[in-house]
Amino acid sequence: MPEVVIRTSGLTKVYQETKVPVKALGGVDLEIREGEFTAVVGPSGSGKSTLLHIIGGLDYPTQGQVEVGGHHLNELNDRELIDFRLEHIGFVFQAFNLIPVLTAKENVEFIMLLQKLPAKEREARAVQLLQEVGLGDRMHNRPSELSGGQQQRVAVARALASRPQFILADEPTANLDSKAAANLLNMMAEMNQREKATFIFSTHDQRVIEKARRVITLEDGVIVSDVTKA
Amino acid sequence: MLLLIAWRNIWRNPTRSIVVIAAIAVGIWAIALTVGFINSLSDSYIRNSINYDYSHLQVHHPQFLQEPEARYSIRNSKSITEYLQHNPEVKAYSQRVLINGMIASTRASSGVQIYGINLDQEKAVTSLDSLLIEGNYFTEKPRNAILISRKLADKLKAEMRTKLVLTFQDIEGNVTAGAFRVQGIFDSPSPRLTEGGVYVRQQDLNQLLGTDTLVHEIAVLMHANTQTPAVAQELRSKYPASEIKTWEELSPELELIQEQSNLTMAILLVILMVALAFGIVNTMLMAVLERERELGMLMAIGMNRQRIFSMILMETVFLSLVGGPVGCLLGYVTVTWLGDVGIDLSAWTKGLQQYGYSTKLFPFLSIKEYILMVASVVLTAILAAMYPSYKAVKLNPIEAMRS
Repeated sequence: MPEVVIRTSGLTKVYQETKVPVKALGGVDLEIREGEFTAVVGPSGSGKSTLLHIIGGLDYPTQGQVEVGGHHLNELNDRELIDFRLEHIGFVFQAFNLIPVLTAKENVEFIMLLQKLPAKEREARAVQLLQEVGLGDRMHNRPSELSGGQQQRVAVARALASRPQFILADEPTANLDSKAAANLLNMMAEMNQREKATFIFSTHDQRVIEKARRVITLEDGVIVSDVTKA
Repeated sequence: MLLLIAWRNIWRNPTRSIVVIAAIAVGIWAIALTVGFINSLSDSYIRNSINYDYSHLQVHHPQFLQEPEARYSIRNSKSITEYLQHNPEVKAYSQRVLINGMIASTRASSGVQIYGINLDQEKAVTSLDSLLIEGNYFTEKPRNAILISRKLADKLKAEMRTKLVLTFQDIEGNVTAGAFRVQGIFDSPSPRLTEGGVYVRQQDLNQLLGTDTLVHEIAVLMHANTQTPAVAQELRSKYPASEIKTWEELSPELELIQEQSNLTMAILLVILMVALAFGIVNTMLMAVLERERELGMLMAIGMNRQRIFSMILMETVFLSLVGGPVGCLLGYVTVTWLGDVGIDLSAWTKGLQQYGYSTKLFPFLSIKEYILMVASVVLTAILAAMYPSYKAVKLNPIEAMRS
């Protein structure tokens, strides 16, 4: 059985932005094994994005522990978290994923540039990934010249470019039509197999949930079900 | 790639970037013109002072400038003039007898400096003959002719051929006097000579002084100003018994004019740079606020704060690097053109001449001044970009992406 690569215990997050504290996560205990293709589902405000942000090192929990790939994220400072994200996490967001002034290929290369990889290696990997996500013929187009689905594919290619251990996708299909959403999910599942990265994505889209091999359901910040398909 | 992103980012909103670039360019152009004009003013003052008054350097008895008395005549004046005659860097020289005295007409009197001159030498050094607006250069009257300035003539209520009496102390300290008749009225660009300089023949003055061996001043005109320090140094080492002074040493106000010109440029630069800084801060803050989500995303995927800071800084530097040279080029073209055709200020002739300026000015700028302007713009841009860059790096990735 693959080893556990993400472990949270008693993960709590309380937002104190207004006078009334808002509890986004209320003690989440979770284990995710290497190579899983997991959907975190639930209604709006259930804490899906917060959970992904904390696992991705974008936010700190109010209470509880989070260990990702052997790193205790609570103990990392801001600068160390940035390096952690660069080396271990690939992000796909709902929107505004790409740098508008760069072409698809440059966007994919950019993350590898931050990792200081050699130019030749960057270019070869960017071309390979864009071909794998079906955008071999659009790599010199800027995001504004691509459809929403194509932009998300570039985002997935960009997320994989740095060879991260984990891909975290926050509502990646929210702005896509059904066909584009299905295509993106199929492609992500394929990349999960090919690149051996652990995929976790939040969604409340039923069509997406069906593609996941494990479905964790959150409600009011707590896990109400955790189902792994056979 | 960071450079590429920064460069492309400034063209995301071309109108805004072009406005900033234009503001930088027009600002530099305006400064170039103003500084070019100020340079031409101070240059005309200095040139007039050299060509019509001080010359490039002067030789005196070491005591003469402190106590301008007849007895302080230059020792070895013959040897010095021989040296000057054979020095190829020297264009011309003029030996003068200088006496302080009083001039009186029947209606008024005034204190003056009396120049006893060698006619040909003085003509070659100060072009005195060309400054005459009435009369002639000692050609009519063989003896006791005098040239006075327009201003002095007005003060003494004198005209051509008016008889004037010069009173002064001779070499032994006795008061002596001589009657001279106005043979010419001049209008000098030198305020000093206009105020109180009169010219007579050297032999006429010597006769009244009771000697013909006095030389109080030797004014030396060089072919080029750059040769002045070297010749002055050589004269100093050859003739240590005489005092050699360059025009800069003789006329501290000339140095003051130059310093004022530099100060004016510095003040103008600071004013422009402050205005520019506010423009840049405003533009770059807008650029940062508009791109909050994108900056948040960049931080989320692993772009560190140092790189974000550098990117915003680079965008600002690019704006100034485009605007700066454009402004310099515009300034160069305009200043060069005006430097060729000149700026005619003859409408203000009286005022300008009173202060020793020419009525036609030829603006110019040195390479150093161009470099200073561009460097100031780039430095201002970097300083102005600090705050927007700081705002960018202080963004929280999640909040920024939510905004």
